Amino acid sequence: MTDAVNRDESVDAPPTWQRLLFVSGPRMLTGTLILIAIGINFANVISRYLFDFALFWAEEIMIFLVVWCVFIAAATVAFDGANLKMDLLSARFPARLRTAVNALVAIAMIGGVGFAAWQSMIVVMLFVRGGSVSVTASVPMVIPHSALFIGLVLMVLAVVFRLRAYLRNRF
Amino acid sequence: MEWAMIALPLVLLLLGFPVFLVLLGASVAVLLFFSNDPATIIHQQMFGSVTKFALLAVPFFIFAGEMMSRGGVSIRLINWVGSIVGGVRGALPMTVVGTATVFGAISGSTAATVAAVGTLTYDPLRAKGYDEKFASGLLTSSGAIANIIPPSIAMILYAYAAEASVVDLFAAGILPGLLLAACFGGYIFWYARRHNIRESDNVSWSGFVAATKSGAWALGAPVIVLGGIYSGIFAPTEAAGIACVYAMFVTVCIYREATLKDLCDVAANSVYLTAQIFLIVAFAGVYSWLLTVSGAAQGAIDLIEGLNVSPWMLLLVINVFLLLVGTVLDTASAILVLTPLLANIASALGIDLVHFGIIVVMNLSIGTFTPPFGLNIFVGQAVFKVPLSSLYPGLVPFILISIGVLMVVTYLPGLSLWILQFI
Repeated sequence: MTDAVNRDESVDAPPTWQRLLFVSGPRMLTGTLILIAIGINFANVISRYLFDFALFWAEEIMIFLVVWCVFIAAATVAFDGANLKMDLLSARFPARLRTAVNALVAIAMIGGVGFAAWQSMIVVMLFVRGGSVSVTASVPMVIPHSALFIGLVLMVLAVVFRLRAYLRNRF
Repeated sequence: MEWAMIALPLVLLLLGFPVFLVLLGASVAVLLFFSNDPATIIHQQMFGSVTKFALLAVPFFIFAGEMMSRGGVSIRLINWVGSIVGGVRGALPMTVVGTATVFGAISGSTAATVAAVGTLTYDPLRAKGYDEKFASGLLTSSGAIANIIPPSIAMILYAYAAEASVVDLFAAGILPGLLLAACFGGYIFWYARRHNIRESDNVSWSGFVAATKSGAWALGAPVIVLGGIYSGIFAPTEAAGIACVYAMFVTVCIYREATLKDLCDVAANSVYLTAQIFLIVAFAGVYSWLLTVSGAAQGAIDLIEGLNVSPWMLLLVINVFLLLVGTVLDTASAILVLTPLLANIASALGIDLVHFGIIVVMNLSIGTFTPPFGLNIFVGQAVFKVPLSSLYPGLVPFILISIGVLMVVTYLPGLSLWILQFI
């Protein structure tokens, strides 16, 4: 029994390249992006009150930075199996039922999030063709909208790579 | 369609599906089988939901709170509060409650408050003669005050979901939060007297001045955040960003207890926590849009109105419902999933949405330390290494006190709303 548990844990441990792609890389990137957003917010307040000059683009850029942060980090959350959930009942299911539910969750994650990613791709392609830009910062709108598409695709990949962990609900 | 909008999410939630997936599943089912709207609405509503400027305050407040809790702020706040209440009976537990209140005005997160204050005070509480049940119960429940005292991440999420004013909600939380802290203080005094625990220290003016000097930078955070918001200098989101810079400055440059590595860790952690919440925000946006356009929300309102229940009775039912929800679902998820429906119902019955917001946040905050599954119970168990058999009974008096305060806040709207006239 102990051997089986140990073996399972070693099997469930993701390879280094996956951790780099879904954990360490995103952590470094999103940490940097949020610090930039904090810096922009501070610069905006200071310039408005000290120099009577508002950074009119600040709000949009901060929002877009946070959107990218959220959807990149969402892939890390999916990779860690750390999405918020209520496991009051499921933790008490018999083993077989629990495995079946775990499989359903994995299938629903891949199917549901994949479907949302597909819809995102349709919208992103519209922005690619339309070429619209944001109102104040003139950022091509394809950039913030792509965050959703890329984040959702990464989430699906994260679940696929960690399918065994999802099936066992052990991360 | 009702089964897809109400029954399916309920079943998926009970099966333990991630909350965002519950909302996505229900939305996809409605869009594919009961609606003529294009499925691209999923992307549009998701994008629209997460690009609200007010929501930027969430990652910023998480960052500021975690930075402060890592960088030596907690111990200075404890010393400062202790220098004020140190002379009364039950001084140390009162210091805990006072610190949780002040820390809540910095972090806005209940779990962070339990971890930050509990780590430093659990052993001293035991050493002073408070038993395991009381000490762990007190520390686990005191964190809930942070949700009610502004700034509060829960209130930001409620304001977004109910389209209410964050500034008004922050102000409306002050008196209920202080009342809860005062009632905890009253119980502590009674408990220390009943168990004849004499642990008060001598307090002196010089001790207070020294503690204030040492903690001045830590105490500056709520002053800057709330002062900035209510003097009209910052919007809440800007104030949250300023709090981040202030937290970095104080912990890295002044106290020198946080390193640049801590800074990077905190930045990445705050985005991670934000992603967990915002993923639900994004899909709750799709779900609540469908709830509105499908007429399900209006149907629920008509149903409640048809029952001819008084607002008084409705609030009682909602209180019981939310207390139960709060014990099994985390505060952010519960607010984002339930507010679109509950706020519509409350509004239709003439209940002020700011007052209702305080009720919702208080309910769910009590849920965070209510057995069997309140989130902070597990934080407390991990931090204090106390068995649940000790922790559960220790929580009971604090749960009863909190429910009593909740009833007062529910049926005396003036307690929350009175302060708004001064804004």
